[in-house]
Amino acid sequence: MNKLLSLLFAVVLTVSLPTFAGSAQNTELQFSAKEVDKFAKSVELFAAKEGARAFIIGRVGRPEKDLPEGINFTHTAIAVYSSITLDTGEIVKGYAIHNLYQKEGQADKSELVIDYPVDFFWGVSSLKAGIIIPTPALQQRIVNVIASGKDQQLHNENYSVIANPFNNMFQNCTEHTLNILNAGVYQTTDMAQLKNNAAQHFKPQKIKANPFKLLLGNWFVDDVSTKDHSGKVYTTTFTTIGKYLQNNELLSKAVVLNKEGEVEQLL
Amino acid sequence: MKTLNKVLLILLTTTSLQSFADSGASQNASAASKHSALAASHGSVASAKLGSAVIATPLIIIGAIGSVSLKAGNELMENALSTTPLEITEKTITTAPSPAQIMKINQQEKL
Repeated sequence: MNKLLSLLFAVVLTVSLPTFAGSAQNTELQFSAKEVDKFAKSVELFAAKEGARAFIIGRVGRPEKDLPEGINFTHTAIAVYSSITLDTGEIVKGYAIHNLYQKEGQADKSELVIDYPVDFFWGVSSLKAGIIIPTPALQQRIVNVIASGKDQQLHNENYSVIANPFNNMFQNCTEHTLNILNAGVYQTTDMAQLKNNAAQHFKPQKIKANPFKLLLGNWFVDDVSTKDHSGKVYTTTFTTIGKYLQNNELLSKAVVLNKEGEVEQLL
Repeated sequence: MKTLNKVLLILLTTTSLQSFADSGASQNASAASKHSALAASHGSVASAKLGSAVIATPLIIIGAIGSVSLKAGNELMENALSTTPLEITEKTITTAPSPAQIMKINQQEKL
């Protein structure tokens, strides 16, 4: 019975792990479809008014009070201004969002998925969007990476929600985004070079979590691994990507847009 | 007391697991109902306001850079990119449901 109690206790501790991010594709609707639809369109219109050909987009998929310190967005992707062919044959213009999502029913694996703003914001906990618009020159390079399909070469399907951005053992949505940005900056898909460059110039977010809980998470939770870390745990976040671009003079705008249409500076 | 402990542990485990499940796996049911929820929110004009995307092609800038130097070309491109608002469709675009989602919608409708 003691063993059973110990096991149960371990499970309780494990499942109480802090929520870091997570990139589930389909989640339950928290607002009305009309509200999400209206908000998603407002994000598109905001970026379009800025002339953004490509921007980094973030959403809040968990209650904000549950997010660990330093993490404001739970999923990050790249929106690319595109020509979109509909099933009716009509061709329209808008943003297609290039995501790394966890596979359904296989949380430790991921796949690259294109969706659209209303899909992206469908299950959010807050109608709030992070919008990072790189400089036009970098936007163009990002578009080129994605249009040429090189983003596929930058994908590692082994998923960890706290992936270390300085090696390629695991990858999460924000690290994949960073890979695409740096592939554009350095004009390469060579992962060793990209990781070396990231290690020299990118400052990730330190994860402040109980080491014991992280250890248990490593054992029991599919999408949490500390195997790619030595010592303290650092990972890529939406905000650290914004700071990285700002520090390297590659940032045009970094804001948070809410459902009232109010715009706050991210950095 | 031991019984109370057991009950408490089971309760804690159950509630915590529930909260964890909420954060994890994708849920087909919600994905399957997305299109019908959006259609309902648009009412009688839904078919004109909604669109299912088949393919998206990134729009690459092909400016009239011609034979100007690379540096000048980049400057031209920056101006063109940063000052020009882009056209956005008024339609709500969604991913087309997967075959699995379509089958689930059909099954739900039959039930």
